[in-house]
Amino acid sequence: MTGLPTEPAWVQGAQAGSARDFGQLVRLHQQALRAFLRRLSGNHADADDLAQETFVFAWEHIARFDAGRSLKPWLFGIAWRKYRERKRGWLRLFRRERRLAEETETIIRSDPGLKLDLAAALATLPAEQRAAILLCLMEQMTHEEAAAALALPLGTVKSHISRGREKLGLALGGLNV
Amino acid sequence: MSEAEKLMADVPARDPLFVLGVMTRIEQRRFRRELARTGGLTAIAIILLALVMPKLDFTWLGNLSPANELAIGAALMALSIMGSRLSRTLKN
Repeated sequence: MTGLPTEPAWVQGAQAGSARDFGQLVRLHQQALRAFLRRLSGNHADADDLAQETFVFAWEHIARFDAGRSLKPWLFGIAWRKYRERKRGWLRLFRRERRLAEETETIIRSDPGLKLDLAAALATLPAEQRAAILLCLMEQMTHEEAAAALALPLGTVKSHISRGREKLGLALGGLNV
Repeated sequence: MSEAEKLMADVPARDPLFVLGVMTRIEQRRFRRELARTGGLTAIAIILLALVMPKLDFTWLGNLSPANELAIGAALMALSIMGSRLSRTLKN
């Protein structure tokens, strides 16, 4: 009796052109990827659209993927790039996020007892910090995997996580994150 | 429930519609790409034929007198009429 096919087998199948195997990979990763993009973009419809684009891109470029590695960081890296492409106009994004963070900080300062839930607290972080926190804390990726996915230096990712944790702790009313 | 699980809770673990959406997009892209490729080949064929056409035209006009051209045209018309009648007869 043969064992059930696993991710590496599906990756190899997809690389050989099997749409059925690629469908299995989509089924396996859709929940985590969509949750990541929903927390990142704050809009469910946009996030699902981005997730579909991510999977289509992955299908078209899966031949280049090193089958010996884990697929997840590669997929999340594509998702992150797609998210950034969609949010072109960096200045606009930067201003919007900065304004949002300032507003939240003002709310928290004016009412230190206020506790936001984790999702709302995450929304107050800048995009790169939010992505690093989501990958390492939610997806249990190592710092190295997150750095590869986000195409950032390892030190930058570590600093994003440390600062992000601090801000989240503040937003959650002093909780350890 | 952990915080990570809470964050993922609003996305279903199984979502056939989402998977179907992805596979549909993949097929649409493939179709569009093939259509573009076929369109490109057709355009190349049209250009090549357009380049050859004047030569054919020139040869045709140079070798045949107007009377012969008319005769050939009439013969072709007669053939097409006979062909359509024959196919109608075979159907009945």
